[in-house]
Amino acid sequence: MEIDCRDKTVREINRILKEAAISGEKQIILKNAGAKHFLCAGLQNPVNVTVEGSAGYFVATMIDGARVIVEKNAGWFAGDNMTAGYLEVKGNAGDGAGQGTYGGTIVVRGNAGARTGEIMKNGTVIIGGNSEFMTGLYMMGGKMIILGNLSDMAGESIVRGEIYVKGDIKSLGQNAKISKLNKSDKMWLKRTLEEHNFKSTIKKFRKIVPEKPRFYYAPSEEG
Amino acid sequence: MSRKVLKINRLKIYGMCGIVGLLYRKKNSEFGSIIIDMMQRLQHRGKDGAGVAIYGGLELSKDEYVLKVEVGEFNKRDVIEDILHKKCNIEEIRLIREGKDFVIFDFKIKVPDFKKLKSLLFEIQSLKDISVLSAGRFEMIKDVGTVSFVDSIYSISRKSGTHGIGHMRFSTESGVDRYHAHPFQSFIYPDVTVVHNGQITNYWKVRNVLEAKGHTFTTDNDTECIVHYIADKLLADYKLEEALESAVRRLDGPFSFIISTRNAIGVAKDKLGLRPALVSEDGEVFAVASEEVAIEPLGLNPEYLNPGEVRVFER
Repeated sequence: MEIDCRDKTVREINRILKEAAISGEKQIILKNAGAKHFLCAGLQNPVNVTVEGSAGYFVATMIDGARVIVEKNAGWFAGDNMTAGYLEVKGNAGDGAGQGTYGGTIVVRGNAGARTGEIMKNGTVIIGGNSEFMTGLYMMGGKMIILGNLSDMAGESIVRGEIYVKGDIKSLGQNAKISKLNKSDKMWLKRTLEEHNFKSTIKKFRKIVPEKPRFYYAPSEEG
Repeated sequence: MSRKVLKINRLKIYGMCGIVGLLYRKKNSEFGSIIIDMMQRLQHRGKDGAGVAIYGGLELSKDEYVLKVEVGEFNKRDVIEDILHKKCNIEEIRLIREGKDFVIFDFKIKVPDFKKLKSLLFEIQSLKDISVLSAGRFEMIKDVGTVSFVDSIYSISRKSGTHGIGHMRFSTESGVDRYHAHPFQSFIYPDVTVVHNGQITNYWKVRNVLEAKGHTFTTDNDTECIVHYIADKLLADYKLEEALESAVRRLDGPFSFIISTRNAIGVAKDKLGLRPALVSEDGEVFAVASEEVAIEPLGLNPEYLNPGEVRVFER
């Protein structure tokens, strides 16, 4: 099934998408997506959607089981708040990719902007290139893999979760520390990279983890 | 900029929980379904837990109260029954939920006053593997999961009531379990509950003062200090509005919270207005929520609260 997005509002596109998904459509192509915002928001059925071109802000926000492929770039907050499913951005993603995710997998083949995976709770975010300022800000669970470099204040205020990094780390944020990978980390990393077709060795990887599990509310902070 | 100021500024970015409050002048048989609809409309604000406190729906005589208690295993019910039998009349025991390693019961009991109830619940609370989840003349239901999930277990949408509050939790540092889900109740004063969106950054300072007065905290969640603070003021004969104004002055950080008592709902917003809250009313119904989408089906016009503003609506 194809939906021509030209001359349609996002509300119309998402309504058609949802109705098609509910009626059992398995493969939907969004033609002329035109970097519109909120494409595929809230899709709850296991449907495959391909966005031809770029998507705007909040692509695939709050999806719960859908599988969305963006063929070019995505704007801010790609995959925000998703519960389950898959989002792949073949180009670059803007700031806040994977913000507040509860589950599922987000793959950005190119670079990501600032605050990737901020306040994420669970799930996996993989960035094929670099990720910018405050990646993993106040992260509360889940795992991120960054195959490129990390900019300043990586893992700022992280309280749970892990950020696997292959490239350079410009600086760490508060409560973030670097740790070596153990055997099960290496097995998971290898398996996940293979599963998502990243041809990379795991030799150079290390991970960013929290220093303390309660950063702001430990008794010593305010007592 | 000092390290502490930097930290507080960072905290201001977050706190996505959703809060709602609803008050009718008269008892509404569809109260549960209306508040659940409001909550589902704010589900995107947090999926770690959901809960409600509903007032005016229980058919209780003047001296009847409901104790909601969680025990580690079924036969611990007998321990509670023994204590209650010695000190009050048990009118009814209802099994609310049974899980792998816990059971929740409602004990409808007859006691002369809240003071007596308070001493009973503290006695029960002190027992191993037993937690008092709520106690009073209202019904509190909270658990881990989405609004739909919690509703499917506890049938909230089938409950009637006059007023109540609801919460969709996005947890930060404290645990994701039933005890840390909202609402929170204070046993300092009868039937006071709170739902909260935000962070109380001087939590330990507020908590230390309340603990020095003898008030008991059961979790490490910052929201708990709000409800104890308000209850402490109500106990000191503050009106709800005065208690809320005092809280806005005393509590630091970004927050919006809703307090419910036996006859009223009050909402407060922090001094800098860093968390959303709007109210809406038409004389018969009063609603408060984090976002306009929650009150849209009620057909009322929203009014956004100003920084530091408080509002109270009484039945």
